[in-house]
Amino acid sequence: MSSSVLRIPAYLWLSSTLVVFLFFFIGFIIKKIGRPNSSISSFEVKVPSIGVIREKSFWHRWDPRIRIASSLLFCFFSVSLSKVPLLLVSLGWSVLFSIAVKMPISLVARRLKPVLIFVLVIAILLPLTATIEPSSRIIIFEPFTDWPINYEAFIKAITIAIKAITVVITTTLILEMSPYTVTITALQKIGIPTGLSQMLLLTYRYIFVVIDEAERMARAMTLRGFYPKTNIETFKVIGQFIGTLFLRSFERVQRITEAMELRGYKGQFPDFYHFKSKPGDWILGLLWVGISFGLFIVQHFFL
Amino acid sequence: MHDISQPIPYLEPSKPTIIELRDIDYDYPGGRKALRRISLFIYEGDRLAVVGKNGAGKTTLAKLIAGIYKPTQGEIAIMKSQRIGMVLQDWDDQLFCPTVFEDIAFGLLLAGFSRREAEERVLEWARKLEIDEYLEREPHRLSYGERKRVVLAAVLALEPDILILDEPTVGLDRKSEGIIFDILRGFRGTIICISHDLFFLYFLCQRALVLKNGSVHHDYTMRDLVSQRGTLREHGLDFTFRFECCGGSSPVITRTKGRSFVDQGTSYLELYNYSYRYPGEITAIRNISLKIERGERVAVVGENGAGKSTLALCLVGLLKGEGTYLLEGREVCDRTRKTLWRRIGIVFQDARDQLFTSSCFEEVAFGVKRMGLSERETRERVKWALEALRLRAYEDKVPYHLSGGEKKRLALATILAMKPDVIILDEPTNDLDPEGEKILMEVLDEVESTLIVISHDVCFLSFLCDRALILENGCLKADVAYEEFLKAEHLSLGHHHEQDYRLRCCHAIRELFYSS
Repeated sequence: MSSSVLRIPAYLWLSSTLVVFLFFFIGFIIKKIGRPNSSISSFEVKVPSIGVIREKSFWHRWDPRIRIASSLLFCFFSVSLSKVPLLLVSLGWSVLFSIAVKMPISLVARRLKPVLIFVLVIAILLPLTATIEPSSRIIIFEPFTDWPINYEAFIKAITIAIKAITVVITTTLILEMSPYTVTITALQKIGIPTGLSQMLLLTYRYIFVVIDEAERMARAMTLRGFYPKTNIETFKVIGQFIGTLFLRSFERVQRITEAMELRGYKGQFPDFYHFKSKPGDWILGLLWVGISFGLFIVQHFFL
Repeated sequence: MHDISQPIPYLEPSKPTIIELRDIDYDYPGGRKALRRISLFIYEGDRLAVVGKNGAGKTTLAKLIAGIYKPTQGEIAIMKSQRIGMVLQDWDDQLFCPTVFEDIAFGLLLAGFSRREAEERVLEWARKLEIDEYLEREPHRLSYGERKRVVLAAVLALEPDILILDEPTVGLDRKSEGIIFDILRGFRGTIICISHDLFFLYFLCQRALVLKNGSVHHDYTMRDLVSQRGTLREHGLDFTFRFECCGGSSPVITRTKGRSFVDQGTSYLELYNYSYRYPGEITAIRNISLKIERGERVAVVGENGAGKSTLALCLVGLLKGEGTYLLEGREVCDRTRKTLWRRIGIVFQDARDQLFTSSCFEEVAFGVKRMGLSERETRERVKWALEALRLRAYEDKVPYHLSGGEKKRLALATILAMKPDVIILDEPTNDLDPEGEKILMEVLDEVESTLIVISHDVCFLSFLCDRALILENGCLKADVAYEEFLKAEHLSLGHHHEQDYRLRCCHAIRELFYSS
């Protein structure tokens, strides 16, 4: 028999589950009402907006270099925590900051969606697949007394979930508080290689152009009666499609290079932004890092 | 006047020479000759039109002058103080920054301008080209015409002495064309302009350089070029068929003119209160109600972003909107939507979207095969379509290697071979030289299918269409007879500015033409 048992009454876990379910259900309904009437998306809206929070508040004037560096350090220290209360503090801090910068909930939800699916799978599988030793602590969700769950695995799943959510919210803050070019320029200033930053800029600009090109070609094929099946003919057609797409992309790269060279490009993008940090920027940065570092210290020396 | 087969260099002794090309040859990688023995003087303040058939070497010559390519043989001498700006044919590839502001500032900052100076220039040119309200927007969110203006602003902000333009008017709505036209007219430097739009060139340029198979065939005044039909014909530039619509006093008589399309019972296509909204709340078309009869020829006009292409995609069943869509009196449901391709064909704006196989024959046969026809009939249809579009000799060629105009014709052949009841054409004259336009017009005039033509080319439409659907901000502003559309000032959506200069050009050229 197990050393200790934690019983969770049915009303508690059922009501919690219901709240979560209602939250997603309302979100789904809102989305459904505003949903267009086709599965084919337009180029206009397919391109994600990066840098949507463009208010001119104190927070938005924060030097992007310090903001990015301190946020990355915050993420690093947060994921190194293992105690749920401390993790909740770091999550609470990033949520508070998101509220302060008026980050749209829909945007956070969009970024969280793929992570939550992964977290949900972990949260279900990890506790259910963990073996229960006689010494293990177990949790019982009443009335399912025959299905005990390993307590450690359950806590582990919660820890992973909180860490993932904290990191997603923080990285959303990094990306959305300034336009994409500003973020990439700031990253370049704090040390990422120039080649990589230019690649990121051009990728963001053209990945959607290429996707759109592929979609238009696929549409043209559909309009000539092509519906993919599992046969040689389909593979042949898809091979030709990919080959053409590759050729078009290759030629596009050449044309873009030509256009850039015509405007004076010699391997270096111009500096569109000039950053100047003030004491306030450093104080805010230290506060961010200080909180997560403080939690890290508390975990290692006081708990 | 003269008409020559050997070029005599165009000389302007009173003006300083700023570019001199001496016996230029250029070979593409792989050895294919693009240009041969080109010798040319370009003078300060020249307005040089570079014309010729698709694939004559016009763009290659421009890229050599701009310094993108290096000649295989020969020498290009450019006066040192001359700064060259070039606007390439595919405008989208020239907007490589995340915002419009950065795109215009890109060259300025690299040229050593301070941030403040660069910003001032960006604002100045953005205002001139009426794009100042889009400076913070991402280029891919702008309409086609707006993007073209951004590219022009980015090049003009660098204040080049020589401006090279490759097909500046293709796909432009009249507002954008008007703005660009005014800016170019006011440009003080030298302009080298490649275009098939001879009306535009006649108004902008005083000198014409005619290329054929990579060589200079004629180098004389624009007046000399447009007044000699033989030369125009030889180089695929015979645009005189347009005299009928732009210069004639009476309206064009289309093949279907006067035919009654009403009272035939049920209409072929019917839309009632049809709307389509893209994800993200952007309503592309709203509450459109219309009827199109079998065999009718309908023009769809409107500014860039008015919803013309979206309407076309709804009609072919690729987009499903709200409202009622009837085909021969029966509602189009999800099941029938999947079979619409057999009855409604569409030729997209960019012909490259429709071409992906390894030979022209295979390309045209692709759709026909999927209709379940016998091999013999498939072969016959393919041959017929290729023949109709003057592409019979291209059967085994790789579609990707064809010129822009040939690709366009091949894209049309892929649809024609399927013999659909309705053919929708989105900007069919883009990339076509006047000869290609004429071929297209003749082919389309022969087909019995219902035609729905989306275009900004008012003149081209007047040859084919009897009816105009005018879209504005996604709504059907008017549904009138085509003649009425041309006459009614309030319906013409800014066509008058364009019509004015085109009409003036046309009258002037007609006079020249017939006096010679």
